[in-house]
Amino acid sequence: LQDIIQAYKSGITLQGNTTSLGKWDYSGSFFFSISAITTIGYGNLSPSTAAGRIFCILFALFGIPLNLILLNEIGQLMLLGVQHCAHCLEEVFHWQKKASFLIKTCALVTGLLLFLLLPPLLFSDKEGWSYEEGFYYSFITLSTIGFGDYVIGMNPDRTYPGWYKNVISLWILFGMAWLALVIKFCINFLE
Amino acid sequence: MASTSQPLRGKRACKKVFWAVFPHACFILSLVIYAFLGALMFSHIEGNRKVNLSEEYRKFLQSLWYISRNLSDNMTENEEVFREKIHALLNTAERDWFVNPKDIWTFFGSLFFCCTVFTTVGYGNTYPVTRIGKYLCMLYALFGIPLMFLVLTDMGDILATVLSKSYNEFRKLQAKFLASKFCAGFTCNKRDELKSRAQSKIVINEPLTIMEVLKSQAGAKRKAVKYRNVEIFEMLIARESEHMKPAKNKCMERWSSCPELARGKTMSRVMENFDKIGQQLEKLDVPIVLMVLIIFVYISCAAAILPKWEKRLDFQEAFYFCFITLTTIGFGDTQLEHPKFFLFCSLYIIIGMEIVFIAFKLGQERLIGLYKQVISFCGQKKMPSKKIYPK
Repeated sequence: LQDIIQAYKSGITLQGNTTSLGKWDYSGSFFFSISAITTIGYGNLSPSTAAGRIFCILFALFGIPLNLILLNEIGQLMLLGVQHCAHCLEEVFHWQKKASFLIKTCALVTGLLLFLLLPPLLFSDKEGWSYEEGFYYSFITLSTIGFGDYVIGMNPDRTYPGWYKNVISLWILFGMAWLALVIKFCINFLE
Repeated sequence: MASTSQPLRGKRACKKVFWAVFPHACFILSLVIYAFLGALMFSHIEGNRKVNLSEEYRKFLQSLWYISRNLSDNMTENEEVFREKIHALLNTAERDWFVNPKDIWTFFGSLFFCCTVFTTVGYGNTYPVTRIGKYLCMLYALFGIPLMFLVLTDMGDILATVLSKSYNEFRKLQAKFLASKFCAGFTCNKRDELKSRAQSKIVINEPLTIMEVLKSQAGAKRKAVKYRNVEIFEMLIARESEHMKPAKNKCMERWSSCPELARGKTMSRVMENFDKIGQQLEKLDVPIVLMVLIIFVYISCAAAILPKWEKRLDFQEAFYFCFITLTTIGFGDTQLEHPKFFLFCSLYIIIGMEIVFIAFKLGQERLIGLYKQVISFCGQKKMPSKKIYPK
């Protein structure tokens, strides 16, 4: 008994039944490559062969700048959308200065809702986490820290719908772009 | 008279050096203080966590006892019959049942944890378990990550200047070497290009004129040969106009005939330096292959040294670990035996993250240039079919 506990303490885990995100099939590998190029790096799945590691290094070397470009573009698109809305509002209501400030706060609040406050509800429904745990997971993921203590889709007792992983990937992408935009605005504002 | 002016000059030089280094030291010091404060906070909160046997842990232990009671002496029989049960049972186990918080959340352990938070590496071998620990972790990250980003950008400026200067020197040497081999007409072009490129590093902070826009774009299309003559021509014009333009930067400085004004000048210069953070990074123009080579050499150095005290890692694993850490991916699959020594190499880690950061920035620009070329190529191909001939 002591030996088993000792073995578990030193970090040896068994390759038991896991969900598809824990095995190296297509969706698991896709999730792994996303966690690598967004530099989140959960670590629930990581390459153990030498060839896999070398490929991971090369993959990350090209993938991370590509990801940064993508985030930049998405951020610019979001910014354009917000400015477009601001222009429309100005024309309709003739507010001028107040409109852009209002639109900016609106966009901020919508982004906050969409990316930080509403997803934990989804997680509590699908993963069985509490709201706080879902919020903690969202924050740790979007800031790309990615401890790996909470990872979606790793519970073998639960069934996940087909659209779940894709929606989460989209959420990660847009959430990170929004967060980068917010940080850029904060830095501009502080200067 | 000369003897009294010497120490004064030395003092002034000392002061100058101090005020030049002060902003950078300021940032790094604040980051270090932030890390120490965080370490104290987390070691207090998480280290003093009350460990009580939860209900699930009791059930887990009970099931384990039942299973072991049914084990016979025959090993192979045990393996087949009970493997599934043990697998299922161990999958329900949670890691924080088996660890003593006081062992992991020592001061150095919490310091390591704080570093993984604000560098966004996030290994995950240590993570907060209590509710207040999690909230504090989020708050800590919210302020720590921008601070780290600021330090990175600031030191990145220094690194970028060093890199671009050494690269320019190397190119000058190379051009001299080549000039001694080829004919005069060819070398004239190259020398002009190098001179204009070296001079285009002059910083004049004013609203972007057309010349500067062209200059900043010239970096992206540097590879295309047909643009080179245009670039040289524009740079020659820019150089001419720079000689004729009044130096607008001097409007902030006053002639330092009295010491109070001199102090004000240093103060305003320090303030200007705060505003200029990140500008050298924007202007870096070094080939990306060189950067990738530098990264690989840098990581190989660390990977050669690391196995000296981490007995479980060989060169290949240490290389992989360093790479995953420096890009801040941080899987956490590689366990360190002595995290303390890794902390002492924090300067190495910061410089390494710098280099990777610069390389990724450069990679972005190159990729965008590549996309632009591809799109313009596709656009040119499509043009003939789109021509509408007026009737």
